[in-house]
Amino acid sequence: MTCQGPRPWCLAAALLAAGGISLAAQPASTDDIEPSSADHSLDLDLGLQLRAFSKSGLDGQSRTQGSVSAQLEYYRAWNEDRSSLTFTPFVRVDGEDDERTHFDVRELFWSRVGPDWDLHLGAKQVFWGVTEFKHLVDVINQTDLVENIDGEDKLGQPMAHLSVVRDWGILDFYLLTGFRERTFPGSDGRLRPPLPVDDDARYESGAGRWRVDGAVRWQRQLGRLTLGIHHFSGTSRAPVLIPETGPAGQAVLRPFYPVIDQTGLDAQAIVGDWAWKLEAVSSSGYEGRYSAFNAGFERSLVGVLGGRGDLGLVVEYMFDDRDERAFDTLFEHDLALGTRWQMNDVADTQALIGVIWDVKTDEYVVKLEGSRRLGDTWTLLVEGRIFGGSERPMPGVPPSTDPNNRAWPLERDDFLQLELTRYF
Amino acid sequence: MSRPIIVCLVILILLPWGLRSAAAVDLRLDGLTAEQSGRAIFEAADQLEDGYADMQVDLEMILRGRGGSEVHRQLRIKQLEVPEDGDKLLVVFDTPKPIKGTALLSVTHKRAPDDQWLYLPAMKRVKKIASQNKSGPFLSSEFAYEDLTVQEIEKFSYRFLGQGQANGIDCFVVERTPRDDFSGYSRQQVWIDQDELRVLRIEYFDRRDSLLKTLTIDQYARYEDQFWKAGRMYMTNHQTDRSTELFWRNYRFRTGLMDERDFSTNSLLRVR
Repeated sequence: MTCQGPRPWCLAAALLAAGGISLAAQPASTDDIEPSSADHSLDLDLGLQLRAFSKSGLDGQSRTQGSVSAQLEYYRAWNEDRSSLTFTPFVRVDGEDDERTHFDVRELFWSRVGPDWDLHLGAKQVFWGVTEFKHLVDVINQTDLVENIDGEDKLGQPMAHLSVVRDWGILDFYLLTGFRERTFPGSDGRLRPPLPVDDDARYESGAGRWRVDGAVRWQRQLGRLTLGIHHFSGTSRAPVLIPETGPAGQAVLRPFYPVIDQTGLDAQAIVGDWAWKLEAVSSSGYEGRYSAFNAGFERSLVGVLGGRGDLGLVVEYMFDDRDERAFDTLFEHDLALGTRWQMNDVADTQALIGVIWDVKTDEYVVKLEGSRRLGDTWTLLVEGRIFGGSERPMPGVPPSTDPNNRAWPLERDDFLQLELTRYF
Repeated sequence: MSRPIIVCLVILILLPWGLRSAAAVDLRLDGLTAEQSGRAIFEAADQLEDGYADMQVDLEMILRGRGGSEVHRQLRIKQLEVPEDGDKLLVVFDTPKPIKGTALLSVTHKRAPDDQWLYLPAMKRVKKIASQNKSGPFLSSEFAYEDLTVQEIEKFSYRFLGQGQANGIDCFVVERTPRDDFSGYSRQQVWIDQDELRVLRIEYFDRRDSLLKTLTIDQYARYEDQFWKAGRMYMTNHQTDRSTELFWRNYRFRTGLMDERDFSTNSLLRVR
């Protein structure tokens, strides 16, 4: 077999071969392996991903999509673990979509830990928030949208981050620069807007991607309540996509990144088996100030599946007072229902089925996720989406401006995805 | 693997602490009722645990199924003594590799529900979690969360049954009945050695009062001239024929762990 160029199938073959070899060489017992003191570590995971779509794309894109990915994590600590360096590069090579073939430094940062403070310098990932179906307050990192439309994959963001721990809570200060533009699928990719998104983004700030953004967040535990309040001032991570004519005369969407001031709140109260959750923001926005919230609960039921399994019920309502003018979300008045099963078996089998339903327009998304380990070093992840409920667009009306079928372009993109990952 | 892991870990870690040296404890059972004697034995054992400041230990968990299948998990544990409230616990998973870096922070409280946070490294997300149903399996093992959690004196009522032997060692045998309606047990029978007040054996009876599980604890060693810590725990489920073995290794005491630095949610974000 010869491999020419970075074809995913060649990488896939190499991955499977490597997995087979290392499986064969696996020691029969791990009794003699002691946990490391974690002064330094090097981990690698390799993934093979296959997607099958229910229909070909609007522009005839392929019904199948295969890709391979690799993520390395190098960590080194010194000075009694008070100083450390973390480096996490990631790469995906996609067989169909050139824009989805991409490299990113997920993390490359130096840390110094004091008695009651942490200082981090470099590219890093930061998550804020409590809800499950939408992450309103999570504004520090840009979304790596080509990875997954759920928005949970993020690009590394260069920053200086100081965190102080006090009796009255944890206070985080961020200085951010080196803005990362959102990734979008290319013309051969799936799960994309009907028009291609141009690479040449525009910024409201004259400093462009080198504007220095700032954020501060305070979080505190008050009895059963966990509270976070933040303010972010900087270039919006969500772009406005403006229809334009491209250089070759074709219609394109050009990303425009406005400067925003956003204040937000995230709160969670745990009472028995119930977790009540709220995320809310008020943002200066693109065309005037707006507010949005996501509120709901998660209820845990234990021992419902043959005595060993757990069942979680998640209900969230998502609201955005811009209604259909909300350019950065499809969820402006939507109800989300989800169930999460956890088998509590040795393979950590779990599954999540969710429905997000627009109570005004009846558009819906069905979301399916399942995972389990295969032995000690492999995992299998199954993911799927079904989009429906949109009306067919009126002739001559772009779907993005018709409130009843904003999700219509996605209705050909129902998919099922299998991902096999080998951990080294 | 989120909730089970978290709650259970906390419990696992705190279990061996229930057992301390009798040397410093004046235990007198004369003139006490069976109920008072049972409680006095546990109170004496409880006192022996005070003053450890902080501890670190490595844990290997071996799950054995009916068909002879074996699954190994490696964990690292840090624990901080909080005299005026419950202790704090940080548990980090090293293997299996797909869950490496997952971590659990548990802040126990004497009089309020415990706080627990789970760190999910893939999303860099710290998630506060609801208290697990205490009778559920911990990390798909034969240990329930409640087997591993802090065994506060007030959570049971006691009855001294008499003398007996476990592992050839003379023991007090005490029956304790969970006061919590959500416990999976009707009662437990506990063997505590008479010299050092270490728990050597526990039999668990299910809600129908039939024998469910037996826990044996051995390979005790004494640290800092004071703390008896178990090296091995073996739990057999008589109703499923499955078993879980825990090996506790590399105990370290008074290592200089600090509350804000090592046991805040920030410390979860730093776990490697």
